[in-house]
Amino acid sequence: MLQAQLLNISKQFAGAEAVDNVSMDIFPGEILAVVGPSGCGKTTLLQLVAGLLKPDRGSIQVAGRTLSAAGEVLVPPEKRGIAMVFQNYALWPHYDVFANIAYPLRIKGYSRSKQKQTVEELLEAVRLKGMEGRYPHELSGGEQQRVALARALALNPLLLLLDESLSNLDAGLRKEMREEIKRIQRELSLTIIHVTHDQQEAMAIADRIAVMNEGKMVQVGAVEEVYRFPRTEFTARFMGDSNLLRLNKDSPAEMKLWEMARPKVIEGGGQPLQHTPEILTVRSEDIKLDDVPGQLTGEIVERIYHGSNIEYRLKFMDRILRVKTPADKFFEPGQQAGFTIEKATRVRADN
Amino acid sequence: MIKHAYWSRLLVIAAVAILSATILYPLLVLILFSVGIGANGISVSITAYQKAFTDPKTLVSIYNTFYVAGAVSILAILTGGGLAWMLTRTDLPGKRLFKGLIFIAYIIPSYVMAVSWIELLGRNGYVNRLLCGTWKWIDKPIDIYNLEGIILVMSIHLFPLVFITMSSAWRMNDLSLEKAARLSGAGPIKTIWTVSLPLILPSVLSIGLLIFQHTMACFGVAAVIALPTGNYILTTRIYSALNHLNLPIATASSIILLLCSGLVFGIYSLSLGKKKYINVSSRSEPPELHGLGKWRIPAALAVLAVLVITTVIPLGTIVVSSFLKQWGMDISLAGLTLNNYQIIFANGGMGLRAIRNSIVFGVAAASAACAIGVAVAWTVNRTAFKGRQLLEFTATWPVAIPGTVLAVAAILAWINPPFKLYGTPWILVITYVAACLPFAVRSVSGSLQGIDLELEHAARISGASRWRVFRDISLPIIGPGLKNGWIMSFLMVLREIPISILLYTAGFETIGVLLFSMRSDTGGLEAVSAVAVIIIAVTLGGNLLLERFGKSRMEGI
Amino acid sequence: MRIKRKGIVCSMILILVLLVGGCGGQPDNGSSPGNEAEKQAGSTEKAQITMYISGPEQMIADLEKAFEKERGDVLNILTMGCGPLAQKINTEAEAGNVQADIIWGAEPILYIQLQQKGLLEQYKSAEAANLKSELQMGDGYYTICNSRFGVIAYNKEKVSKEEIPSSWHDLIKENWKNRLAMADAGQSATALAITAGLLEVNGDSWSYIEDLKKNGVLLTKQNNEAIERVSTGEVDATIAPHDGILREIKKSKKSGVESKMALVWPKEGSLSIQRPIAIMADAGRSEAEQSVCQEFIDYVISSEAQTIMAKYGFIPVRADVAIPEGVPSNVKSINLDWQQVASQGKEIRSNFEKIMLAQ
Repeated sequence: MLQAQLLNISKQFAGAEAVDNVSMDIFPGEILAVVGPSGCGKTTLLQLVAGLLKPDRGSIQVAGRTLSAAGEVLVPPEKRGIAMVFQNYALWPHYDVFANIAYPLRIKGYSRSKQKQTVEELLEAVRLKGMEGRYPHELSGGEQQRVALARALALNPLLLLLDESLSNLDAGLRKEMREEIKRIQRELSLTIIHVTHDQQEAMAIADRIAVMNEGKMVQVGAVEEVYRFPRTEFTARFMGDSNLLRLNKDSPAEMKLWEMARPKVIEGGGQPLQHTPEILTVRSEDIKLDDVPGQLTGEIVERIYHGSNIEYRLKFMDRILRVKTPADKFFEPGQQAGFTIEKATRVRADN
Repeated sequence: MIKHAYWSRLLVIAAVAILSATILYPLLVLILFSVGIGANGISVSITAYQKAFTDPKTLVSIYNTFYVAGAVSILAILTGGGLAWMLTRTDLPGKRLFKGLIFIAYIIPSYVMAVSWIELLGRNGYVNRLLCGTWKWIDKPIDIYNLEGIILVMSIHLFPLVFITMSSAWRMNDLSLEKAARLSGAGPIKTIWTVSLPLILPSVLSIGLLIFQHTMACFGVAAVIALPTGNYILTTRIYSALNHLNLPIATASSIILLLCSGLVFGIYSLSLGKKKYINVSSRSEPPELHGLGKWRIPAALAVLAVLVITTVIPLGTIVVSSFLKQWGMDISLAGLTLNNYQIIFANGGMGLRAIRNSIVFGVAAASAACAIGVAVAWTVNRTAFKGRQLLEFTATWPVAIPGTVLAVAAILAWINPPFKLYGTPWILVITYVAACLPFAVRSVSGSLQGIDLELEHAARISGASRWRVFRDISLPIIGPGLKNGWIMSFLMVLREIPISILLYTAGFETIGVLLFSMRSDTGGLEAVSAVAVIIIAVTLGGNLLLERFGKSRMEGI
Repeated sequence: MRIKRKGIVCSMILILVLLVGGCGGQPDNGSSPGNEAEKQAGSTEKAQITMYISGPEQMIADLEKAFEKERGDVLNILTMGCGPLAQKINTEAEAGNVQADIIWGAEPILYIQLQQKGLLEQYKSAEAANLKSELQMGDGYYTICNSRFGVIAYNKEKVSKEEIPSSWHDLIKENWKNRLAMADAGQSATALAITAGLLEVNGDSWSYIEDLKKNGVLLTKQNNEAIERVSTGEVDATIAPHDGILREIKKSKKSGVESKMALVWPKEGSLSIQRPIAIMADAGRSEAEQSVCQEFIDYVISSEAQTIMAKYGFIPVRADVAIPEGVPSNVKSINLDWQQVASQGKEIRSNFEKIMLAQ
């Protein structure tokens, strides 16, 4: 049984397709991350699901109920049982924390004592006990975020939508909130669609990832699947550091690399794809460096220290390759290093 | 937006219907009359327009009107905007006192303000008596009877309006934008000039336009200050034509006024272009104040000086005059009396009745205008109906129409069955509503534009219907703007004279009628001053009451 | 918070109800005269006529009280300045639905215009026979019910004995520069009448008005404003109707201040301006109402009403009522041909405005 299903959803803004024929299944209890660069249509998609926008075509179902279909909003947002946390949190400045969180409960007609009890539970869940009386402007960014989350949870939603909800937080807080959300999601077995432009965040939080570009759904799949076996050049670029190799007869460097990578191609979970024109993608961690000159040799031009690993820029003829090695592999810029390509994947070129 | 829900369609229909009834229909009737289509038969002619346009006096009055309205707009914006900046964005001391004084300046009816300035600066005014008489500093008295005199009085009368609007504009300004400018190397002055000012420019232009049109349509002040020396403005001509039974000429002149006003509106729309910034987010931070440092006290003294001149002195003059046996007499203990107040309340119970009626009419008209204002602003800013901009345009029309003309149009429109409201108090309320609408719509629209849509979306997602979103979220957030609009409208009704005089019915006298009758000869100007003192007292009392109730709710905005 | 809001709403409603209730309830006390609501609440067969009046309110109240003493509350009176009165009646006429039964304005020009438009009803009061012969005008379409004189008022403190003007022409002398005020003929119908009178005095030449402008005459919207400016010392002299001046002096006296104003009856003659009253043509009046209208006209020129009006400074129309205190018995008056003035009204106004227009 699906928790939610999007079928051939399209939405135009001023003549341009903001969302273009998108279909997507969401399973109960999963976190689905929708990733893509700014302006790829992911926020629009979320608003379509929420019912804040009406689709031009296609239908949206949640828990077996058709919410939008054939250019109509059949169920208005307030009747959908879908909650959303907005990018700027959208806390109502004239309400204190309690009133913000209790608002959905008030609408549902909960008694005052029941509201109080539920809000207390929620505040405990988001670890904001004792902050009931504060106003939004008196809270830090992270606290505002938690209040927004608590408010969304108060609905006990069928589906929780997170719209770039972590983007405004600093790195440490973002990590903490990410874990928090996962914990709460597990505890309440929530179904979440999380929209973000940050693929790291998406991989960290999601069970499955949907990659969007220019309004189109490019690839949907489990996290490692999308990461390991990108199907298009775009996905490969977007999901982590990849080196893309093209069959380019004019470039000797490209030809040499191609020859090395071609035999290492592994096929993904699905059937081998007939991509034309074919592009190979090699993840930065799939290039192995050696301090002795090997089959191919390049020059280290830059070293970026990440702590757990080290990233190098490796110059091979006129190409610069990105290589990631464990932290104990140490090269000095200027040093010559032999390298081998261990794995490659075939992807479809974007036009 | 989602498809037009049933009730939002209903809202639009209601807004259109009410605007048509209160504004479009009476004006249309008036215009038809001016070209000869009326109850007395049809004989289309545009001679009135030809006459009005070709009269050389018209040209002079158009020039005078533009000069006065332009100067008033600039002065009021500089004073009101500057004060607003000082009071919202700096750590100036004494803010509460200053805000109170500015509010009082706005309550004083413009007519009374003009009269009190004559009492001060007239040829035999107190100031001139001191300057040329007692102190002999100058040999020729300061003369207030000129266009600059109107500019002075109208600027003082209208700068609080600018102050109210600009205060909220300054408050809504995103501070990080200013910080970014500072970090980019701009000094404080340059930051204000290059970042802060352009950001609030739309608000400045919008309120400037309102002031401009409002000044163009004013007559009361001009009648006591510029008329005496033959400085005619367009409204002088309209009034004169009306007095001499020449409705077509009066209408044609009003149309000229409307056209001039529309011209200004056009320039405004063009200059605004796409400059619409929304810089209010849900993350309201407490405003950070510029430290004035060693300028703190001098700045406060400067503000105090401005307010003493614009508010305290006229107010003092009015209060003192209200206790004088004769207006303008030398002030001494022997000259004081309570007689003026007695006259107001004796007058066959009319005084008390007028005050009560005006409060009731004011509450009714201001509430109605605000409700319509909300409907119009909502339609314009939150729906996708075609031609919705026209709604706002129409609603702000009456600001450009002199009260007398509005009243005449109302008589024409509401005198014949089946719409016979003339002779009932309803026509007063309807016409007041029309007169209040521009202020209500502008101030609601301004604050609605400032709301981040996400706040409304969040509420819908939380399960609230559109109506509840509006009630629980939008309304409280636009609350301050709405309150401003309401107070402006209420005061407008309280101070209004020409509409009241032409449309009141026996038993439903208003403060305007009272002012007029005091003025005419029962009481004289000293009694007029007493009425003004009562208006100020009633308004301040009401505001205090509202504040006591309304406090603690709006904190944090 | 919720309770608090409810509190606000409740108290607002309460205030409103009290105000509205008080407003609606007040007429039931039946204490205030001239209250329409009260009359409507009363029986419908009762005759009720509507009157628009421009004039001193206290005098109107006195007249109303006296008239209604026996008849009950039959008058529905709206008081307003002569400007609004003209605006209101004219607008109603344009709309083809005149609401007033009787109008009582400040000068004959308005009546002549209304008569030309066929808006006045002819009623020849039996009392009219008692009118002074020169006031028998209007052929019953309007009836003169009192008159006043355009005269000069000056401020005693500001004007030395030698300077006191004795004639209209004194005012255009050099020494009166920037010391004069008068109402604007463009704004006030009475001022238009006065202007017509001044033209007559000066042999139909505009030079007098031009000289006034040269002397920097201050214009006001209404006549009593001009009077006020003299009494407050803003200007030293004005041309205005005598009754307003007398009332202003009286008012000062009443409030315990010696008035600084004094009156001059110019030697060329004072400008006589009559105040007419008229019944509006209206098919819709009941017989009872019709008779109230006529009774009121009769009453206004009765000696009782004339005595009341004389108290307020107006010159009675009857020889058997004493002229008011402060008015010499042998005033030399200049009478105008109102028909002619009315026909030239537009031109007079236009010329006046052209001369006065600041350069």
